[in-house]
Amino acid sequence: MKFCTVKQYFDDENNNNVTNGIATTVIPLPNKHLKIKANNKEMEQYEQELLRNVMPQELTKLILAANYLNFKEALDFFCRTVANAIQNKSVDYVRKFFGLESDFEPGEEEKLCKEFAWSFEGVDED
Amino acid sequence: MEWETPWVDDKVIVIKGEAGISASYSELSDEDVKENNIISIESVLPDELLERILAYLPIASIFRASSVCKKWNEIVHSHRFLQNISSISSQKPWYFMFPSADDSIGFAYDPMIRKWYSIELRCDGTSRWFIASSCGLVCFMDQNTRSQLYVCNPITNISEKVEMPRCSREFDYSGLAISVDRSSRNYTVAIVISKDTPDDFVQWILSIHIYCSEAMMWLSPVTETLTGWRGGDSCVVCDGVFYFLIYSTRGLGFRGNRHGLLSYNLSSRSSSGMLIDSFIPVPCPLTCGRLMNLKNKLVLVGGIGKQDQPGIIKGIGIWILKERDWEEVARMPHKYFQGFGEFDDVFASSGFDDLIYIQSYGAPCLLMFDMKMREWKWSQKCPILKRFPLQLFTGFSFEPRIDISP
Repeated sequence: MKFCTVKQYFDDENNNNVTNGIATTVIPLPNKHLKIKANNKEMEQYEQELLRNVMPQELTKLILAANYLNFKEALDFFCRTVANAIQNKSVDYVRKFFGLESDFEPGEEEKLCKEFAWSFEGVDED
Repeated sequence: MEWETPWVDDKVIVIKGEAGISASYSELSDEDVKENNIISIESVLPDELLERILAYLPIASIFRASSVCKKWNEIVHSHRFLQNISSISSQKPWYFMFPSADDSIGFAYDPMIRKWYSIELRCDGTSRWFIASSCGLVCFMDQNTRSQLYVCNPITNISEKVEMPRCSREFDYSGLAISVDRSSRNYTVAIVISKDTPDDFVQWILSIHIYCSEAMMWLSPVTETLTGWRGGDSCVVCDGVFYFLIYSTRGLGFRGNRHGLLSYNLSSRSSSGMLIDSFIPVPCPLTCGRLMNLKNKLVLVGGIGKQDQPGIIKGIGIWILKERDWEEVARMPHKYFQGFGEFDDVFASSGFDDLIYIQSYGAPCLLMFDMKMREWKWSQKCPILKRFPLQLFTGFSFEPRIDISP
């Protein structure tokens, strides 16, 4: 199932699609997943560890690798981790996290904020 | 399903050099980022994967995400994102609470992140409403004029007005329910109204009126005279069947059931027997009953009363209907019952999926019961303040959806 793609990766010497660093993180995941699948708390701790030690760019590469390896559980886990990292954060924080800039016309952004003003209340401090 | 397809992009090679940086994100200043020439994450993530991340966000964060940049705005409003978001069902049903006298301004609770939002519902005026909800749409019927009905999505604030038929405007009791077809997005509104007969308090005329949004038409398929019963306000559509509670109209000396359940199959085209033939007794003497549709199962939340002492509430129970029998799911533990302070024999309760909300009319306190985990939990404290001793509060549950409009 998920290991078919992994085997193919090792067999294919010219494979540049997944860097070694990422492969060493993603490939042990199935075992880790199976071991701690039942224990939500450990998954949460692993997620916290990941967020502390891994930069957003690394997290993105993990997502891309998991996607390439067709490893659904890891993909869901990393996507959820990124979502948890940015939930309840301000729009500016999210922009910095993803390396983005606003390209709205002046006034367009204010209009959006006003329309759903309630969703901009009470965000975490940056 | 689109998201099952793996995505491969040669661009991954370009950022290979960045592997191994371990400085934590907060330590990097903007200058560091520019100097190291780190390519923005967002430019290497394909839209499908970005959508996947956004779909895991709570609703309020999704709204904020749409104001990050034009591309994200497009993604959040894209057909594909809105279709896929409902399959990642990480959103939990919300609860909208408001002081009874002032219906339009209240607070909506998102249990996913335990947060209250101040939201104003767009309904005309501040008259009192019958309220029902299904699959992200909320239906309001004006209790005073009874001439209009609004169907709206409280999150996106898109609403539509429906004119009520004349025959349904005169009544003594009324119940309102709405059902949304998840595939076609059409909705059905069902109303049960009861009128007493002149000179006879025991006999009541009960009629059902149904509105179909696709045909934009009202039908009045059933009118029946009930002896000893009348309809009330608690009703729900569950799996294509319109269920409603009926209340005894016999005097206090009557020793039988004071509450019962009737049902009407919405898809039945011909008269398939009398409504009263569908009668199912309630599991115990109730002070009040609230019906809800939890994953297409009919659930009753009821105040447990004493047969000979109406108005006394001993506890609150939750039952699920299996065929024609009620199976008890849970009883509210005494400590939660006490946690409400004064608890009248009638209360507000509604829910969706696996979550039931229970609220006493006398206070802005909200209790939740998780049907799957069989756990009771208080919500985060609601910011509404009780301004005077007799102030009443009420509310309703709804599913927060950005992909559905009336």
